[in-house]
Amino acid sequence: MIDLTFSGAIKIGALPISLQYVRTLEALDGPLLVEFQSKAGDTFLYYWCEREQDINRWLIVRTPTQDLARYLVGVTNARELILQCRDGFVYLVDIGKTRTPINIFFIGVDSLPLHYVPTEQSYHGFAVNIDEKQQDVFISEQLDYQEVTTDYPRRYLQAYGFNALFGPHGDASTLEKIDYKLTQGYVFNTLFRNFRKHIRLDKRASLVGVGVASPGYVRFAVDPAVAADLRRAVAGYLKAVAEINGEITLLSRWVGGREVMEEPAAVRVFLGLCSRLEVDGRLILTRVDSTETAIKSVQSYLNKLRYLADNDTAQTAMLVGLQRREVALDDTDTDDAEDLS
Amino acid sequence: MPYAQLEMQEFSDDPRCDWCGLSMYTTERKARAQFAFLLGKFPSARTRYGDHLAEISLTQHHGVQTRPRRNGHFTLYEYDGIDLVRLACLTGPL
Repeated sequence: MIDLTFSGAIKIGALPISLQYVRTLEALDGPLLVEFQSKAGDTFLYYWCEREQDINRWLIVRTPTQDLARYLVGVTNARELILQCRDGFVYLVDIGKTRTPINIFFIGVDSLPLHYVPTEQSYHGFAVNIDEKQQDVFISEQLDYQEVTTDYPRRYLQAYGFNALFGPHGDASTLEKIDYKLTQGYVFNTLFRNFRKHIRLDKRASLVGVGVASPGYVRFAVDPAVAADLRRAVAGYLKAVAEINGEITLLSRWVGGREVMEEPAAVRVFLGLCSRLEVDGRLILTRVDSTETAIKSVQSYLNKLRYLADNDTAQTAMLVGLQRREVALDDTDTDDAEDLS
Repeated sequence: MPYAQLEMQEFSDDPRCDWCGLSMYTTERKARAQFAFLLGKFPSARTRYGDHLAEISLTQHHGVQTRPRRNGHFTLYEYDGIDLVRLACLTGPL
């Protein structure tokens, strides 16, 4: 029986806020953790508590975007989200077969019944709807203002742009041949700006939100498939960092004349590297004037990838949805139905 | 019983096909491991998912299923008229 009379809870007639459904963050045979937004733009989480016959009790907690991002990247757990919420209080709402709440309580987090409070191990799992049209990045206190507002977004968008052209869901059909010399930083910046111009409009990413508080967050509007490809590329880089760095070092030495190798051999190494990075090496070769330029382009992309990966490892800027470790209730794989046979 | 049949769709803005299926696990060990994780996060999970574990030997005549994930979870969409309760063998409390 759901206890409606526990001490510390104050029954109220209606929620003082109007909330709009955003997405289901965790589910197992129905939703368990759901994101809502108020008219003022605040994020609220519905956290499932318990059930009695037709009634489910949900805990509603205001959760700033950066706190939600910290949870989604595994830096904090659900226990902290609730017990250390900014407001110090939550709502408990009983919902039956219809959406109309049956009971609404206002309660301080210190008074919450113990069986509503998750344990220290309550990290993000049962992931659903991560491939949204937004890519959130949790930013820790170590990253300074310049990096949060400029450096990180620029490099993310450059890596994203490269992937949108040459990645698994890429489309470089409108990209003309690159025929200028790649020498210094600003030339590479021009190159990536040029790449961006040729990304299909519906696949382009843009920076849509920055929270520079400590901790903060960065939010990009993205194409879900390209953003997922980029996350996979970062995870792939982290898994094979030694091999990838070895191959790009070899190729850089060849470009600089410090490695003796026939061009076809260099192309083979290049294609192997591209395959490892899940970008279309053959397509890149057709869009540049020389193998050297192709190598320099990929090297530049790799620098962006390394920057994203290093920040993720150092937990200074962490991509939401990146597969870092196995979660106990991993719900992120494709769910194709098939016959039992 | 599938979630969708419980008519508890508080958040039906975003319905999902798998809410019409039954969550199952390939082995008892994996099912227990997942339930332990679930309990850590939702301490009252037994009020929603039950408190005992049962085993069923599924065949192609029972329905269609999703490919099992690394954690052993898959969703079963049973054929009309299949009574899985009759086939279930209780293995113990969760």
